[in-house]
Amino acid sequence: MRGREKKKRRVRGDRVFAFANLALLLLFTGMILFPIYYMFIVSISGSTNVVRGDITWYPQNINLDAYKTILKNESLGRSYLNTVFYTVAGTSISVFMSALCAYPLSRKQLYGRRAVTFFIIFTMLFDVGMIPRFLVVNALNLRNTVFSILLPGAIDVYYMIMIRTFFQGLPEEMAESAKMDGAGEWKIFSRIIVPLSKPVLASVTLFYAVGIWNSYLGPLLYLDEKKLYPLQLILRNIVISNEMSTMSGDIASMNISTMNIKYAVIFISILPILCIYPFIQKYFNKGVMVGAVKG
Amino acid sequence: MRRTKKNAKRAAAVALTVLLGMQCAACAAGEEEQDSRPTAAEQTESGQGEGEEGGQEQRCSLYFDETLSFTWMIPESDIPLKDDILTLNWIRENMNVDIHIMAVPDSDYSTKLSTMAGTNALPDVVEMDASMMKTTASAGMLLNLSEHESSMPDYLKLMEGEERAANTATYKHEGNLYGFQILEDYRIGIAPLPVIRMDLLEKYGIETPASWEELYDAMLTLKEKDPEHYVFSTRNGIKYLIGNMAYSMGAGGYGATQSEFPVYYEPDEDRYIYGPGKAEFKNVIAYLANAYADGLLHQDYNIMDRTMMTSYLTSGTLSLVIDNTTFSNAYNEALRELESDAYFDMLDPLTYGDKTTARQVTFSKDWDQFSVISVKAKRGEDIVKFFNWLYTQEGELLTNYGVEGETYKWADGQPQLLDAVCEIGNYSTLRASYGLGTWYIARLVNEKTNMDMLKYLGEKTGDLPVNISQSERIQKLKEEGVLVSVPSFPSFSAQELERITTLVTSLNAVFEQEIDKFITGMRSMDDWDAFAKELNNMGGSELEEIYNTAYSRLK
Repeated sequence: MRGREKKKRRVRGDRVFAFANLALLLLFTGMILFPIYYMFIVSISGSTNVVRGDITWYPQNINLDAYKTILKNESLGRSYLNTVFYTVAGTSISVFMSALCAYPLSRKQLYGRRAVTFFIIFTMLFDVGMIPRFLVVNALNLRNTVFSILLPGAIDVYYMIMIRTFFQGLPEEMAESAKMDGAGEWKIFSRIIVPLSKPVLASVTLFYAVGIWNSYLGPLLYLDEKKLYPLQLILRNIVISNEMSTMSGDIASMNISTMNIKYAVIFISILPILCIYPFIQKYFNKGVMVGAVKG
Repeated sequence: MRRTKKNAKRAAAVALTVLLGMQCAACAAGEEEQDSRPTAAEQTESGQGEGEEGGQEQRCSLYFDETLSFTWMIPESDIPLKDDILTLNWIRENMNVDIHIMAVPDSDYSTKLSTMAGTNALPDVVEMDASMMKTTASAGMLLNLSEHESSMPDYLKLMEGEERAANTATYKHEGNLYGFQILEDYRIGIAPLPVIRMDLLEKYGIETPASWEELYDAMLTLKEKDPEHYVFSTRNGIKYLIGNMAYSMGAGGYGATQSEFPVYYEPDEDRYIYGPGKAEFKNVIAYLANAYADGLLHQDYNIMDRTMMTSYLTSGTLSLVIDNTTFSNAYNEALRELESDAYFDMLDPLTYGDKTTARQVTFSKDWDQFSVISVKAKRGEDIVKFFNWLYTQEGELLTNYGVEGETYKWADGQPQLLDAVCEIGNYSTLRASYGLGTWYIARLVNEKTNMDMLKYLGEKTGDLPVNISQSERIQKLKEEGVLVSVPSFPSFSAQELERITTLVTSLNAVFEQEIDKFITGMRSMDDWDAFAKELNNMGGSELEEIYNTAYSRLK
């Protein structure tokens, strides 16, 4: 009898906890989603309502002119394509290079493995800063080329260590049996190690992709030609400096304000990451956990 | 398993194709761009060919036989900058000068500039302010223009003329000129003044205020009539508002004209003064503290940005702003959608206390921005000649009005924008469409084009924008000496500059930390004198000394 009551109390306690938990999570979700939702409703509302600050919970006088204007804008379109290119190419290079660096470091038989690992990790302790990086990029004649965006950050030590740790966790017997079957290191790496490491590679891919998508300082310093600029450079100028005049001719004839444009541009720029994130999230959790618990 | 492999291969192939396609598209776009614009080499060839046959006459007084190419780093502010535009194409065709604009986002221009200067990698021509110009000049990175005086007679004539000679002296480094300053031939009248809802004053029978005290009474009446709303606010923090009011109340520093700098030139004493340390500065703080207590100053004044403040002004929630008068048109356009009779207009500078004449500081006519030439630039002398040309009548005409027949015509001996161009109706769009005016390559700016456009639209719609009448009033107030331009700071040595930066940073930090407490009533105004003394002891007096020492060197 007492046991049943105890159980009942526990069940009620669980329910209260679950409810509180749910309420808290909903609150946090709302806090995260509302700014994005607000940005969206402002971007599709009438300019007069936006300027007057009428928009709070739902859009008013809905119109999509801001999006039409943005899509017509040449420099935004080009910078968007540039960002997609930098993200796809940069992430591919980074993941490939990081995995390539991680593999030998994960093999116990590599001579001097500890010393090499130490020197690589040692670089994590210091940030060389903007000027030395600029000098290196300049000296290598990478400035004002797409490679200045793709190569300097090709390997992030933290992510490389994450991959190495994952590789170390894979049973070595598989590599040994492949070796007995005549496979070389490259074959073992590409046919056995990489296919088994999808979770960690997926999460590192996401990290790199988000990093490159959002990168701002590198492109600002290394790129001089506007046709090479990524979206973030253009976006920041629109948001901070109010650079809207390319579109202001259109704005004058349409029911949109600079606020519509600003929010529409921000919304469009975060859209791809918003769309991709939910699909890679499972790998993200798995990868980070695996990398985190095994040293 | 095999299927998965196949799919993976397909996916990889598709990804590679997309990547290649994008690269090809990017390359093609680049080529297309280059193709659509005749290259400098082609121009030279064609020019020389025709020249040999004695065919085409060169349309510009300055023409280089060998193409002059250089890169020019410019902050990209409110308009996008591009190479393929009317003015730059004209220069390519008629002067054989191929300018490549390196447009850097204005929001982080200083970061890029300091990185490039720090690594001695400045492009051929760079835009920078006077302080940066002196720093880079002292490091030997810039071409000394004073050694090329014979190549820039038109620029020197403007800079050493009576109107500008005193300011020019402050921009020199060790007696030498290092930059081409952006000058204004004609500037639309602008001043940081009270701009108020005139329709409400008329509606409630309030007389147009002529003093700060009368303005306060007017605000009280407005509040009484509409108790739910505040009357005024500010943007970018309280220092901005304080600065816009301080000079007319007997002190100075900060505001639209001086930004973060608290030291100002006091003509009554012919010396530089640390504003917050001056007794009269208390007038402003007390005025704002009272306004806050009476519900006139918006309670969120310290978090408002321009967008937020504009939304309050244009929704009828606020009725007064003390900011640049040129914003009035934009307020009125938005406000009239709400109330057709509502409009903002500026008040003339206000008197304070027992003073019978008003005084107000406004922006200097010319800009604190210079085009400097890197010492590494090839054909520096020719670049100097080109920049000098920008200050000639021919250069001014091209860079402000564009090309005759395409953007302007001559009427009564004056250039006039074509009606089709005036239809653009927006100065920013005009500049962006043809590469004209401010924030492009004009170095002798003439904003009459903007005035032409405003007048054209006003006549067309029968509703003249207030900016036109305001500009005329401001011009008159300047002539009467009521509105004075903020003078440029004297020239400092590197050690002085470093000390100024340290002092201003620490003084501003303390000022910002305490000022809101006085305004919101958390700290009594009785403490102000002690606070002002503390600021002076912390470095205010030392700042004054540095400024006045530098100023005495100029005298």
